[in-house]
Amino acid sequence: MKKLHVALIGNPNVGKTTLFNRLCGVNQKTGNYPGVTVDKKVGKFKHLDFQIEVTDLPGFDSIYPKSMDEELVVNYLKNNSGKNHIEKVIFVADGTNIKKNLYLLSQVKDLGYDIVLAINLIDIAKRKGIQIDTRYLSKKFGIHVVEISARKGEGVDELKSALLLRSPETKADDLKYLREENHEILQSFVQENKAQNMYTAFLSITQDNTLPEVNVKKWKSEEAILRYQFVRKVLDKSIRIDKSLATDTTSRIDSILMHPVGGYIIFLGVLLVIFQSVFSLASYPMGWIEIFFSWFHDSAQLILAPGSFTSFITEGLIPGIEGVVIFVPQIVILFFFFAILDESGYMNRIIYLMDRLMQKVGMSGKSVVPLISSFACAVPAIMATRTIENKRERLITILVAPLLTCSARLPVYTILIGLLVPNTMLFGFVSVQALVLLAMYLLGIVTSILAAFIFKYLIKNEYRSFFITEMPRYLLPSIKNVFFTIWENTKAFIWNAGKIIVAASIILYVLGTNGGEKYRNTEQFVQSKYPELSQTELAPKISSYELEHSYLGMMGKSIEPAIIPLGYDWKIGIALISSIAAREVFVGTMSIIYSIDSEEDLSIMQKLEKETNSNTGKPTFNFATCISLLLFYAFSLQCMSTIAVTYKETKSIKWTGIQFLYMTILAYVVSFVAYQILV
Amino acid sequence: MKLSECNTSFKGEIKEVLESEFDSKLMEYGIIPGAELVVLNKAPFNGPIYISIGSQKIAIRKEEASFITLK
Repeated sequence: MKKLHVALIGNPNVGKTTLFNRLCGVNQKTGNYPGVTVDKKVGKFKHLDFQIEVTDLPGFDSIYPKSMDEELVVNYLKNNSGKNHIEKVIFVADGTNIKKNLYLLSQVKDLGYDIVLAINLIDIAKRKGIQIDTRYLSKKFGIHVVEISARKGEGVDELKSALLLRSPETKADDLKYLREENHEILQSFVQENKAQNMYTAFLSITQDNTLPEVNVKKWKSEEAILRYQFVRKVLDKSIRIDKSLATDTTSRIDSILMHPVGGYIIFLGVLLVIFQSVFSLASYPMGWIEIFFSWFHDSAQLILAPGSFTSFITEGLIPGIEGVVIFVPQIVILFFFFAILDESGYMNRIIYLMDRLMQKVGMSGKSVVPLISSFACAVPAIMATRTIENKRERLITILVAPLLTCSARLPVYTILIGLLVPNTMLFGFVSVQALVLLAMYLLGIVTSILAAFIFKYLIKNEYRSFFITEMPRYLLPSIKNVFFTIWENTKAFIWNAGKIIVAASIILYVLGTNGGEKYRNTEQFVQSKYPELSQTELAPKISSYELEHSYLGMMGKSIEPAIIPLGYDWKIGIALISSIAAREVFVGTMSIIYSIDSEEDLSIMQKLEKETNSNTGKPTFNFATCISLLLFYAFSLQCMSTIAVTYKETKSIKWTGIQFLYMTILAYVVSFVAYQILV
Repeated sequence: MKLSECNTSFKGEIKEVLESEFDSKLMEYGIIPGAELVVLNKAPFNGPIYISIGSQKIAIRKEEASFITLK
């Protein structure tokens, strides 16, 4: 079978990913480009007697990159050589707004690529009364042109066939991007350097300054002017818009959504709806998940023979998996809203409205989206910072994102707040517990703003930050794309966070049920210490002695001196150690520690209330300790997945370390001060 | 007059894009001398300016807009 390597490129928001999914279906995998962190998606499909491999490149706006994503694509295109080089390019364009796409197309074409132009969203374009003369475009650019609708699957087979055809010849009216008086300079540069392609040579001059005598700025702006002239001429002849069909709904919606006062009120309303759904709507499926797992736990206990393997399954593995699955409803709801905001075009309006405010604390309007995702999980949030062009703005967003209250903190907060304040109503309808929870959210928001403000002064700005962004027209979101976004992100969450949480639960269980010599001789020791007790009275003493001398207990004890000033004992120490894996492990650990500890069947809340501090003899979870723990969990970076993703995205041990340290120190100091004042 | 000084619903033609680090970037978005633009909206607190130019709609910060002069 013959092979063909194809790259999928185009401006952002033209439906490239939809087309990629349409072409390759499930035959795709995500990898990384060497040395950089941008995901590389590769897929395969068969057509006639060809095996076609497709590389999906991130969307980019110009051959002069302004963000990391763009830089990657441009470098990839400029250095197309080696074994797996690109033989054909599918250039995806938006049929409803093709001008900017054709500008980029002419640049890529000049790099010497063999291109098939796929004009996407053709169904919407036709509805708007836009008619495109594909034959004229084909002749002018010397490429095959196919009209498609990736969402509906129209024209995709024609596109596949067009890939296998030889491109039409073009007249050599090259150098349309350079003023005639400069042609000679470029031509002699090409001859001297034996460059293979005129435009590559042009870029070497304008991007790397290889010819000092050339006024690079002038060349670049003339290129833009000349190319737009060319594109405009082509468009005048190839596009007909039936004005009676084209209504400017976008402008009308904009005047409402971008209103200097109304716009913010609507945005606040949208936020409220999102949060309300994430927390109240999600609580129903979360309840069902809890019921399912407790049933699963009980039936596993019934079916499996009692023994260490069974308790490993029921007390280690099942709670571990539950700890991951329980968050899925929230993540699904959050990404449902994000997908809709993004697909509809509203996300860019939020960026516009928030830019000025975010700039005050060293970030950009584009930081808003990652920061909102942080309320669900910092991992997708940090990945979403890639769209921020300015390095400093991006870095600050990454650094402060984990301070916002992610859903992993919720179970910890719920338990601690339950212990802290009674479940009573203020004025008959405001829950006191809900108010404390709200205060924790506000604390996260305020701290992240302060932290960003401080980082703004600490981090030097290497480049001038600029902001220019296209506002897409409003579109009705496609159900398929919304579903796909939810699916991709949920899968990534389950996989990224899940493997760490499950592994931590298992390791924890093993460490808690194994130990040194003292652990193995527990029974003899306890029996000789309390010879007067009966067998049933002995059982709780034995389990508590066992836990204390297990490896887990030893670890908790060894950090105890450091955490006594915060009001914790070694059992909380164990929970702190294990929640370095992920915060929500705290709850699981607590229930594991106390179910290992006692035979009674109590809820975790009742168990914690009964617990006494082995150092003071008073209740462990008193007011001061609960506050101190709440603050510790609010500020500390107890999440391996976040640490891993920060490193992946910044490629810098320094910044990963700074993020971990500043948050840990902040957590320790604040909890210390709070406990010492309150106790 | 500079774009940064225009009021909402101003209509005009671009006279010049002044030299800066990002002038070619602006031009890639179709902000070139001779192009007609309309100021659609301005974000509060000296925020970005929202313009329509040709068939495109673009948001641009005030700092960058001050490099665009109009006829």
